[in-house]
Amino acid sequence: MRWVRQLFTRRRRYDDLSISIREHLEEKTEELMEEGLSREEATRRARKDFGNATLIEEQSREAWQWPAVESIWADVKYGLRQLRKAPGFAIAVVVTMALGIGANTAIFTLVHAVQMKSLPVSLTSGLQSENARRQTAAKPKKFAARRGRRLRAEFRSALAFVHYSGPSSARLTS
Amino acid sequence: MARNPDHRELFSGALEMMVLHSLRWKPMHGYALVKHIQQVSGELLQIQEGSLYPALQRMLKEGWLDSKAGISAKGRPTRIYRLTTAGRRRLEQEVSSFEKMLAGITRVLAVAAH
Repeated sequence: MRWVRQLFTRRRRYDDLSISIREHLEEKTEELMEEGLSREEATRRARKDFGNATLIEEQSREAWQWPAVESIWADVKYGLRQLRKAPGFAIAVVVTMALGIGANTAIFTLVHAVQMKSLPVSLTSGLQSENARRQTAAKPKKFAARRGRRLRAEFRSALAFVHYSGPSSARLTS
Repeated sequence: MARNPDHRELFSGALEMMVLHSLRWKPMHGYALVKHIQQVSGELLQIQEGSLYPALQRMLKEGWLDSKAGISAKGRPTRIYRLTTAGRRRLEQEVSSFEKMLAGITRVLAVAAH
């Protein structure tokens, strides 16, 4: 649970860091003034020797952060701010995405039902496929029953036959 | 501190090792630590003062150091850094690994060129 503790002490860590850096710059400035430099010159030299204080403080704070999570969170906040600034654009985007997602879902539901959904029987490994393309439109049931009887004779080990004519009507004969 | 082109960058972990070692000697605040390392190393090492602070925060997070409120030599409020037991162990590991590396490089450099 160290990370939870760190989350709560982070503010204090940031304050400690600011205090340390400020003290560093002030102490260095004072020492340079004791060497005879003007306050202005001493401050400038102290800052130059230290480096970019703002950047260094930022880099130091990163030790207490989760860079990936916090950068995603910053992106989300930025995105929401931008959307609030341009409500017309935001509505257009939301409607476009809603329609796109809706249409995609509808098409997928159809394809899934027709092509992908498994047959309503268990033990699918015992199923045999029989091409009934030659089946005539006039006598489908009779034809299917005749073929079924023939196939049952041929595949005695098969557990069941399914007269399958579409996703909603499958008949099982054993 | 202006960068001298004759000086090379420190290897990774070198600053941390020197900080841990200096704080084992005695607890110090940031500026005192920089001054100590600069004075002891003389002109041999060029350390940008600010680079110390990200390293200190990483070491605090690892639990190698802890910090408490204190007063600087000039009487200003600051934070004093101190080595922990974990930091002491880390320093021993770092020094041992550094000595092995240095011994290896020294051996290679000691072989006379043909």
